Amino acid sequence: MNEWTGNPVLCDSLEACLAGELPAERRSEFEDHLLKCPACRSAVDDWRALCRILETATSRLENPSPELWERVQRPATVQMRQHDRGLQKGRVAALIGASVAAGILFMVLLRPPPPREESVKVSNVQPPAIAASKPPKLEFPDDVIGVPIDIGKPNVTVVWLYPTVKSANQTN
Amino acid sequence: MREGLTEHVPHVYRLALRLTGDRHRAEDLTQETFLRAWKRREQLKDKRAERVWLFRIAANIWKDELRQISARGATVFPLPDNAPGAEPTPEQSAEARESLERTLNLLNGLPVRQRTVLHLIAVEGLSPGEVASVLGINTNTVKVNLSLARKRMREQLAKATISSDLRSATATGDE
Repeated sequence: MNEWTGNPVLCDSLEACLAGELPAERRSEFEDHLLKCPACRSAVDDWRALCRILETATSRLENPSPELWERVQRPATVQMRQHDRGLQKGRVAALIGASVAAGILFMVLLRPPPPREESVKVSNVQPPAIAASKPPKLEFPDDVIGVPIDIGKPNVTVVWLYPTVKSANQTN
Repeated sequence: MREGLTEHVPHVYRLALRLTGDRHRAEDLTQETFLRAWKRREQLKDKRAERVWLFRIAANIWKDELRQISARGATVFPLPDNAPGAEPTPEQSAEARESLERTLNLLNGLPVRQRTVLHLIAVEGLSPGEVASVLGINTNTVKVNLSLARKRMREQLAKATISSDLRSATATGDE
């Protein structure tokens, strides 16, 4: 409060106004008050002028030197590179991990299921007639190698034929 | 470094000057502030509060340094390069520049808390609440320091007969 005005309540708003804390609803009221109260007006004018001159002085006379700019930017750039490198390493590791996981999954899916216990029992107990029967004797021509594979049930013999190539000496 | 952070370098440096009162220390403090800010950038949630966040980091680093300095028994506040009473150099002869320098000298002549509060409110446009969070003090202390700083600056400016310059600067600015 000051002694030049007849409205102490509004003069009390001076500090709040200068600190930028005057509520919006009281701002226009205080602006009106400034027109009538030379003391408050002078205080506000001085404050605004001080703000302006300090802002001008600091921005003109207190600028960081080029060395400071370099000092500020250098360590940050190094850290940013390290950070990026870390990210890159992380990505590569994630990619490798994903590939390994995919490989394992692929192998698991392709592996034939283990034979059921029941079916094993059944295959072991073969009817005497079948068990006694011998696999038919197969004859192959000379230019193939025949490998008979007994797959059990049904009682079928699959034959793999590997064609052979005669050597040059044999051909001649 | 991200563009968003580097744009605050001059502001952090000026606050560092207010806190330390010394150009070299202010540069060290600014560098340390940005180094720490870069490491802790994930903590910053609100991009608009970036500058206040940086100010808080700078003030905290300086507080820690002050503790170490006082523990060692060393001088805490050396006189700034442009302290009151320093002889003006020939380049500083221009009237406007002199006026600005005198004002800065007066500001630097205030106690550290008063000049920092005044700087953060008058130059950086922070609210008393924001200043309180930056300096780790309560809002009432900010207001008291602002009032004292303002009063002292007014007195000093009147003594240094800068008031007329201020008024003409204001008049020119208002036109």
